Amino acid sequence: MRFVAETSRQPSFDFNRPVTQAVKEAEYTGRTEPSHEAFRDFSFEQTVIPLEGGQHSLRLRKPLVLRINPENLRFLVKDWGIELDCLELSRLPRELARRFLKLLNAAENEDLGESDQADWLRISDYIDFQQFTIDRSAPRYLEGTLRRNAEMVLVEWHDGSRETLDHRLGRALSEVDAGERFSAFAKLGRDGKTIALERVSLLQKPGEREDWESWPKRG
Amino acid sequence: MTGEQLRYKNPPIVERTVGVYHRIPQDIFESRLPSWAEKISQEYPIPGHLAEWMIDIEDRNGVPFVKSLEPKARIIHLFWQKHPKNLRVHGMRLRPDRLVLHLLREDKNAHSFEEVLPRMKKWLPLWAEHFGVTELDGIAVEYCNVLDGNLTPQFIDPNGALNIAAALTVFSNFPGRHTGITTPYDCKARLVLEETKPTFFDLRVRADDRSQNAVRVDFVVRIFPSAKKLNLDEAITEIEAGHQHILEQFACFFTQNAKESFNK
Repeated sequence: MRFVAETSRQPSFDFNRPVTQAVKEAEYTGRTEPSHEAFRDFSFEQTVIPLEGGQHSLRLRKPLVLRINPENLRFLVKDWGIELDCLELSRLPRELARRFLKLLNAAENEDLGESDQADWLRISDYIDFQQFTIDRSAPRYLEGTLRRNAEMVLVEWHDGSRETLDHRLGRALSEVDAGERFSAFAKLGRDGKTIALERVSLLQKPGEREDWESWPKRG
Repeated sequence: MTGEQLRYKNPPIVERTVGVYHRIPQDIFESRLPSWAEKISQEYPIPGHLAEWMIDIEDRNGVPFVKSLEPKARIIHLFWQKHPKNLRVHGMRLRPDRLVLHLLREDKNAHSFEEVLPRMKKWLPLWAEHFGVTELDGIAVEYCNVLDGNLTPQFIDPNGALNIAAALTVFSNFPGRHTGITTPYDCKARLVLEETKPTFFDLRVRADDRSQNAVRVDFVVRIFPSAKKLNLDEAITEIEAGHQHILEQFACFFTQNAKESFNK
């Protein structure tokens, strides 16, 4: 048996519970006074805030900064105008979601007050709006033909574009035979790629008079 | 040594945990956590949270430095089973990188590993399916013990001090002239139990601020196969192996007198 020094491949010495560490007695000697700033700003690890019970998410493009006030052990979320007790950290995701949804609603209704307007500008800098819009968008009705379902699932959509679906999405088409037409409600992600399929129906062969030109393109 | 010979009637164990490790992408973890809470709500109906505020301090040649990384804050999600006396005994903790089941002592009942293992066997495949986990990085088994006037009065001197040397072998042979050992205690060490399949045993002894003269003695076994990932069945096998290591180390770190007293 031998003791070895910590190396990168070894797991860190981390027990499963948070440990309260209190400094009862400490002495500092140095050329300058230590900065209290170093211990005041904490970065919040969570950058995905669940909305509507996890059905959608608010993705933050940069971590939130929580500034602790050592006088009253409360923290202020920088740029968001939210203040909570340090013991109430678990409430933060909900408060962030509420703050965002309130301001979003006010912005959509052009009903932002002066201070809210400034907050909204700062908060907008944190939000991945493209992803938020995708997450919140309603599924669209689409029609297509399943071209292949062995090894890979290949679909030709009504506008002639072809898309390979991953296995999770492919499972939604398990009742469709290769070569068969179907309709479905689809959610499209970045670059127009399908990210969810639901309410799949089987369709008859296209009629001669079917006019696809008037249909909007997928992307 | 067999497992049976390593069991005691009244060990000073206050908490046992078993955990499995795998980093779940944050968007998956956060979006599926509410439905997981719903899924386990029949068995773990009492939710809770812990706030963790972390400051990384590193030791450079004996001088503490705050690491350049920002201090961090995070939330740990807890779920408890109901208890007739409203105690917290069986718990589940979730973070994006692990699933941990806890079993806490209640009064004189230290419970047993056999109560927590079946729960892990039941919930591990469900957790893995729910969060899309197909393989695991490693496992940990942890036993927390407390030596104090309540749990182990046999180690308390007539003057009220804890005789830690009578309890722990590592404290029973200190060199140099001394008349006793007293607080502060804050020691930790890591033993390498196996190198081919990296298996580590962590020991930590420190004063427990919650009661006077109390000392916490924590044992942790971690198994992290660096070359391969574990499937779910392998993880359960490693948890059982980890528990066996804990039993063996427990027998080594507590003195013969202490072990005999744990059987009374």
